[in-house]
Amino acid sequence: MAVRPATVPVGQRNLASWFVAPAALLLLAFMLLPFVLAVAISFTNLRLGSPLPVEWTGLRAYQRLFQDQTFGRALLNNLLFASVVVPLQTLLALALAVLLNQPVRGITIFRTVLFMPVIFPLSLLSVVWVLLLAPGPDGTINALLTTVSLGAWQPRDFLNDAIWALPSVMLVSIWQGTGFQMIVLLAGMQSIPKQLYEAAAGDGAGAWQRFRHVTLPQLRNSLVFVMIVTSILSFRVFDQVRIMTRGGPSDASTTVIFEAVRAAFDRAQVSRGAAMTVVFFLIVLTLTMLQRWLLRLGRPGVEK
Amino acid sequence: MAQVEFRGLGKTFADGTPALQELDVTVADGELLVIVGPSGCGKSTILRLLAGFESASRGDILIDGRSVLAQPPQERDIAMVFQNYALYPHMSVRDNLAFPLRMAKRPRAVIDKQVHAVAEVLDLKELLRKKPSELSGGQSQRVAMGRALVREPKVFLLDEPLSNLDPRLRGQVRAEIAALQRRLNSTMIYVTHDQVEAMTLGHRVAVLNKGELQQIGAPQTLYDQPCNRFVAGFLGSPPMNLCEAQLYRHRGDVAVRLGDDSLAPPARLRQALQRYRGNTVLLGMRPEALTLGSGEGGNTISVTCLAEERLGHERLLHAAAPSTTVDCNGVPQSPGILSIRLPSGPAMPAGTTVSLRVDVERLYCFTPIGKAIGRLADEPPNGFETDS
Repeated sequence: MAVRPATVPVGQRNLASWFVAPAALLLLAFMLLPFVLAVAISFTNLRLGSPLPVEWTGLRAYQRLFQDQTFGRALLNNLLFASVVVPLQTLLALALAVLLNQPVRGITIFRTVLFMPVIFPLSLLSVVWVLLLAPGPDGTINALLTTVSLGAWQPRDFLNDAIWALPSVMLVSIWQGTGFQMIVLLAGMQSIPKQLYEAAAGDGAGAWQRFRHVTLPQLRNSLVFVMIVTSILSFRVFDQVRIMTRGGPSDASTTVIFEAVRAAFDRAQVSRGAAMTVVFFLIVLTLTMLQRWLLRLGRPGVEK
Repeated sequence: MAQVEFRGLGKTFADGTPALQELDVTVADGELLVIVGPSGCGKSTILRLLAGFESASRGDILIDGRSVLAQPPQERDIAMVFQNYALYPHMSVRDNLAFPLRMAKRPRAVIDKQVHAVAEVLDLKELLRKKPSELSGGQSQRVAMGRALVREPKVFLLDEPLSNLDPRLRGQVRAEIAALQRRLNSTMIYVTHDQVEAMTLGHRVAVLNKGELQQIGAPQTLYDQPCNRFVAGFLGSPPMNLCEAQLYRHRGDVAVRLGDDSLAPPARLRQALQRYRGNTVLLGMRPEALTLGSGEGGNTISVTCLAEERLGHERLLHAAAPSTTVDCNGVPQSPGILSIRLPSGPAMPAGTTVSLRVDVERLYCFTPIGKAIGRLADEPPNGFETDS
């Protein structure tokens, strides 16, 4: 039994549950139910259009998954992606936020320009970047690199190059995602009391030391948030891969979600795809727990 | 420790608001100067200019004879205590205290020793491991003081350091600051809007209004010889009563008419008041210059009681003023109220008429624009001035 005193009259509580109902139903139908189904399906051998009866196969889908080299490659790519994109993008966003936090005329223009990639659909941006990264000496990026390097650069087909495909996807992701991180960090910076900087300057701290001893510690929670969100997005990366490289060449740029979609919808291996999404879910769950733990760590020891 | 000199210092904000007019003040080595004034008078601006958080529009600031305007805050060797303390929230008390020393790249052993010494002086030893969010107002205030003290800067700046404390604690910390300053013999500039702090703490007090220095001097001098209406009406609690009064010729001499009553002018002002004969002046009366009872030989006024505040050891009587009263800015008050400080006694219900004897030697006279009449060396040359 709930120990909480019933401060809300019963009639009103019924009324309240009516207000909650639409949202709760939608969440149930479109979030919880599919997830439970996905977990259930991952323990079967379900294939779309297969004449075989559906059987309970236990962990077989997972066993096969971890023996599969393509999935291993996808996981590795995601890890690589996260370990490059998260630090680079965060550092870049932090640097931009510091620059944009200056009282300079026309600063809103810069903020708008730098935030713009965030508001366009990723699929559209990916198409634009496919054009920019076009192969041959006439491709924009190739031409630019050739000019800048005074002809030393050999034009290449970035998106069909086993070495360059994944970095190209990373580049687009960083370019697209930095704006969001930057805005979060900028908001964090602007909520730091100005007097802390004045106190630090009075205490003899120079510009770098003020950044190091005031900005960074005060920005800690924003940074944790931004890095965890970017990590989760790194494991979820799909749009860019689907449009720019289709996971190729020869799995060089494939990812977990891309493989899940391919398994479930291209090859009709629904249970396999479901198993991949469950693995993805566990990774995201771990990251979220890590964030909660890190944020709690930052609070003062005694809570009242 | 050091001497601080403001030379024609002025500040106009980017939007054109004048914050500070020409300020010419020298703060001696080891002096505690209190700058007092109403909010928005520019007193904090002086500290921020000295600390280097704002750039001066005009004039110069010298510390020990050398201009510091070109130096950024971190090179000026000035410690500031902020109104809201501005402790570093992510650092323990120990780290807060050690921060200025770490920035100065002192060796660890020296830092430990000095932090320990300051914690001893300010009774912070029990708190060293706590975070600022776990401290009470008074404790935070002491940590902020400690952070300023720890590296022995040239000048201490205190920006309303007591205004976030409850009144009981305020008196105690005020005494601690005064004792600390005496012991360290440090140069301190203390900004406040509270005239009690100004009177009790300052070696000298500078009264500021609308960005302009009104008067600077020992607290008692300012109280006894205010140079203008503003200083007279700002210092003292309750403040000096400022009533309009007429000067008229009386048996070849000058006399003061206040409402229906007439008073003899104070002897020290008799000469100076001659040239204002026939004019309206502002008559200043401290609440303690009035006592109960009709004396023979005049110099009494009769007033109607409005309200009474009993404070135990004394009471404040608020009576209807016999003529128009103004506040320290010259704004007429309505209704005009005369405050009188009296020893406690039987209650005086509202509506009672009482006679008050005026100690005429403690009267002050101000011209309509607010200049004190009869102070040495500041008589207007042409006798009478009109408000410009």
